[in-house]
Amino acid sequence: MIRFENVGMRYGSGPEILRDISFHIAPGSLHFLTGPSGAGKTSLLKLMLLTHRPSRGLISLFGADLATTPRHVFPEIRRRVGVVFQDFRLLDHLSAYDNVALPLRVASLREAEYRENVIELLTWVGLGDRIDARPPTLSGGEKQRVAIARAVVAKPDLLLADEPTGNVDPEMGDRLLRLFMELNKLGTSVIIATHDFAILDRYAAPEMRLRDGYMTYMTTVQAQKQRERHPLSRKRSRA
Amino acid sequence: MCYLAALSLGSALAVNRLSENWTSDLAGQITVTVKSVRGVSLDQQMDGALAVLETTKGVLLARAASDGELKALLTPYLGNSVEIDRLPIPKLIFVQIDTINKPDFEELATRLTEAAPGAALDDHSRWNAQLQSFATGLASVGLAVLLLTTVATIATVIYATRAGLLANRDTIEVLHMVGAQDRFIAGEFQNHFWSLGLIAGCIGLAAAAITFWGFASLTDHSTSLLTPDFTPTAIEIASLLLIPIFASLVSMVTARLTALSVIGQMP
Repeated sequence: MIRFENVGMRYGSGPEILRDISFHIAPGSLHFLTGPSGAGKTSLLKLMLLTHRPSRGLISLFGADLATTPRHVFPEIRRRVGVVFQDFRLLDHLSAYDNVALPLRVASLREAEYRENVIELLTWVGLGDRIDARPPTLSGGEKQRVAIARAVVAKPDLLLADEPTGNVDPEMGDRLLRLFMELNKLGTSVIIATHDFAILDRYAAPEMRLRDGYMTYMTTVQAQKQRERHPLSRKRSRA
Repeated sequence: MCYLAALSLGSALAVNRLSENWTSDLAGQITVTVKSVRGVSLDQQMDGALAVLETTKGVLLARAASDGELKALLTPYLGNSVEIDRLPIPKLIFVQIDTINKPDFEELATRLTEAAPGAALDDHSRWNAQLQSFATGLASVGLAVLLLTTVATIATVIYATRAGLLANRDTIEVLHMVGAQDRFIAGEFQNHFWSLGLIAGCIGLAAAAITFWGFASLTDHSTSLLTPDFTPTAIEIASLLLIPIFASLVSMVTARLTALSVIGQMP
């Protein structure tokens, strides 16, 4: 589904933020993307979301080589990707409802087709009574839930989440992660960027680890199977 | 911009109408001047010329200018104290012609000269051409201003769209992120500038209407041939009403093309 080969990325003429990144993510998988702040997690997600181009290397998404894919096809690819950004990226002039419905609106769906689903999803994330509220009036946690609802509303093939539980209480964080797990079970590939190791300990999922722009570790299939049998082995490997 | 466009178009239309009035006024009339010639009396020449005119096809009416009319024509130049009888001035014959079936002026001039050696025919074509040329020049200036206003509007919209795209860069990134096509984002800008153009066009047109009303109130075109009538006709009103729509269309298309061009450079 996602293939990176020797990918490098830099902003403008600055230093390389990502270096020699190579990995393959299979359809229907779930990965945690970890690493300290500044390691390049968000930049890696931006490459997968096609908002930035690599300075070198090859990226293939849903079987399309991005180097040769015409630009006008990118929106179709992006519609298969849901994303939750660390800074939420909500549109302040739209209500919570309109923010969540945005991916469906740009896909030219009629409101009658999605209204019920959007309200149901907002209710599920605990914002049923705030559907008309605009982002500036929402708390950080509420904004995050709106961002997550927007990311999953179109049932994407790939979900990218950058610190999705950073601004919510542990109970809501667990609830949102369970939503991601459920989506994953339904076939959505999920990549969750986090530096909350407690989440990694709670959920048995493969890990992609970044440090100084390099991918220093990626859980192999064998290691993952072993870890699922012995959850504590994960802690040992990180140590 | 819409105000200037409405002013320039309205003025061009008014001048055009003035030119048509001049043309139609002059087109229906010709003048025969009869000067005294040695050996033939002026009255004899007048009778001969009138006889020729009355038998000419295309002439509706021919009448000699009265002494009072001649005096009225000379008064602006010579004052009230003029005694026409004591001046060697030519006589005039005012002739009304059929504007559709006009007489053959060359043939008429020849016949007039035969009947009255001092007669000369003035079909006003020289004046007509000069007035028309003057009016066309004025109308062209008005249309040039209209064109410049359109170009300035396009430049303003390009600048405003670019500024709008820059100010809304985050929004555009989010729209891209959720899979919006470039034409969807451009469509949002296009719709914004369409409504903005329509509102601006209506305000500009209303302001221009007030200005024209002011001109019409201050000037009396009936006493001056050079002052256009600023009261528009139905067709002119329809043309002026097209300005807000035209402004909206120009703004909309410009905004769309600018937005597509700028967004197209994004990743």
